Amino acid sequence: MIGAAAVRRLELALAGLVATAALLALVVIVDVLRFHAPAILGGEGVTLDRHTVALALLLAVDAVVGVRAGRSLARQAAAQRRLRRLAVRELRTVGRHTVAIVGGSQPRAFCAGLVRPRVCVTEPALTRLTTGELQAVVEHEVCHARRRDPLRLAIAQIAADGFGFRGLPARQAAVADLAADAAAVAALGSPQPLAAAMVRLREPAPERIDHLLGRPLPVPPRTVSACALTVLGGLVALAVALALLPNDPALPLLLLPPLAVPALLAVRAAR
Amino acid sequence: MPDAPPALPKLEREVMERMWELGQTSARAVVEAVNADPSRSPRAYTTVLTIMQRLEAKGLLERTRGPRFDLYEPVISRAEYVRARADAEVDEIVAEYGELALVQFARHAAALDPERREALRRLAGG
Repeated sequence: MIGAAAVRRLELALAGLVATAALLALVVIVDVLRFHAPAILGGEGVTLDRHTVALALLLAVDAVVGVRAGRSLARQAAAQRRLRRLAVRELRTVGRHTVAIVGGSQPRAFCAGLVRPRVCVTEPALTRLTTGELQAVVEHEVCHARRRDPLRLAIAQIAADGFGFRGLPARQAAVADLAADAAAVAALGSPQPLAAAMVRLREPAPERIDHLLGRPLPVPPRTVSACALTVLGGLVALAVALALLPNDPALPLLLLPPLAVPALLAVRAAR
Repeated sequence: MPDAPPALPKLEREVMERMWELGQTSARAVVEAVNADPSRSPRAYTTVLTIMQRLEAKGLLERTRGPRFDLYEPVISRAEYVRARADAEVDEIVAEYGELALVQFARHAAALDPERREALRRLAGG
């Protein structure tokens, strides 16, 4: 089963992508606000240089990202409102956990709620699954609740919609599923009930089967994590420097080439 | 009514609530019931009749022609409606917001290759 360290490395690779894009957007905004606002807004007696024009274009990109992310946020909020209003038919104890039984035409088990996630099981799932299978499914979903995966996935979806990282939410969900499968197998002491539930409900993604069978998974090596952290550290330093230094330090030009080296190394190692 | 009944906007829901209380009745009686609450501004007869015709088109009311006026009757009970709506809600959330809106155990995935499918079945069989 996948270990906590491997899950962290997989998640760092995904979070690193989002954080890098967000920090780059922040650097542009801070640079514009502190040193280039009059030039970009067309103040008198200010000449436009190439740096300012480039920043203005990047600011326009930031604005598009912001609008798209805002729309995605509104959509996520609407989905969460509807999930909160789901009528609970009864609360049932499964193993050591309390789950909400909800209506539904399909057999489903899911975890919903950003702040206080709860595990829900539809009535058709209760009739479809054996006791052991239901326990395995609930342990899987309880792990999602403990990790606050609904919140992580909502953030991934907003970032994906904003920056255009189309595959990001599905990858985040896949990593979360591997961690939840590992927790369910550990809780039940065997992969059999979980595999049986997968057969009965819906065939899972291939990597979950490989995981249950103990086959190796493509986990990024530690060098990728180190490179990703270096890039993020550099960008944080850049944003702080731009926010605090009295004069425009032109740091982006100085710092971006050295940051590009670990970024390229991370991309190469992750392949 | 094999399909799930639709979610109702506020005014349609209000009229439907009165219909469930009254059973088979005329539009005039529904208008009186809707306007029984003095704290709210009264609804016009034509407004309520339009809403009832809309509910009939949605399959929630059935109309019987009478010599002087038509009678309307709920097709399903309130309890049946609430239950059917609850059954449909999760499916509608998935249809509208995608499977990732629910962090659910069994998401749609591409068809498995035969080798993995067989391996999963062997594992499931113990």
